[in-house]
Amino acid sequence: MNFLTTAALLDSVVLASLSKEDMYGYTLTKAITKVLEVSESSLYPALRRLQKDGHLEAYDQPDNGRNRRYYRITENGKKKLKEYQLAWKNAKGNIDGILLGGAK
Amino acid sequence: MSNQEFMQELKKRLKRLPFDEQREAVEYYEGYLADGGEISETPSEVAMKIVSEFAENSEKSNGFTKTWVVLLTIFASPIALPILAAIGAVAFAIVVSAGSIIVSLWATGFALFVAGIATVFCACAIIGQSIATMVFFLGLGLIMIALGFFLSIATIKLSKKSFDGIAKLFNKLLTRRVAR
Repeated sequence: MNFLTTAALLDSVVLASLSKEDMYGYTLTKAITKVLEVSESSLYPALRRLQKDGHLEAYDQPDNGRNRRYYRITENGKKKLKEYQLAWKNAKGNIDGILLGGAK
Repeated sequence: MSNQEFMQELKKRLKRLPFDEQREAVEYYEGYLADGGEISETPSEVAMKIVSEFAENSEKSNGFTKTWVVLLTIFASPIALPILAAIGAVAFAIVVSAGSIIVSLWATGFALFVAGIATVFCACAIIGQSIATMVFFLGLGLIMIALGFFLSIATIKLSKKSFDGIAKLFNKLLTRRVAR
């Protein structure tokens, strides 16, 4: 089922993943597609968007004889993540309330 | 499709982006594929998302380049779905008509301005015949200069706004499926 596919949710899940550890394209894609039903090609535009907004930054690091581009969350990104977490809590509460009915 | 073929196709579809944007995207996907990553979509679908993101979020590009990039993406797209072609045709028509309206408004302003200057000169030329007529034409000429000037300025402002608006509209149409 395809409940959760907004750009904001994708951004928040990316930021949340990077707040735990720096990752590169492949590992990040694996982590995100496991929890969200997005195609692999959605990751790059999201990373680019977050990068331009200053929420994350990229750096190169040699790994197995070649350079890997890692992404790490910035201070701005951490702030943004807090906002997303709050927004998610509210949205989740509202949806739970109406979707699961009386189960309070 | 082999990884090499995929990258070749992708590069072709990104050609119209600024060089830095191309390189960034190509390096990302080269790294991703080298790590054993899979991609379930065609290179053109992948490219479409990259270009849409660029058109939507680039700080440097103004409304006009945004519209242009989006238009070029549509025409470069090999999926060539009828609906995309239709959106492209409509976008093209809107850009062309907005452009012609703007050009004609600006030409009107410019013509008024030039005619105003001419009128002022004529007014000076008849100074020996009738002071009253001279003052009348002098005033008329100055009014025309002012009107022409303001119309030109307003047109330039208007054109920026309208191209921004058009770009936003079509980006929305194209990027609705962004997270899919």
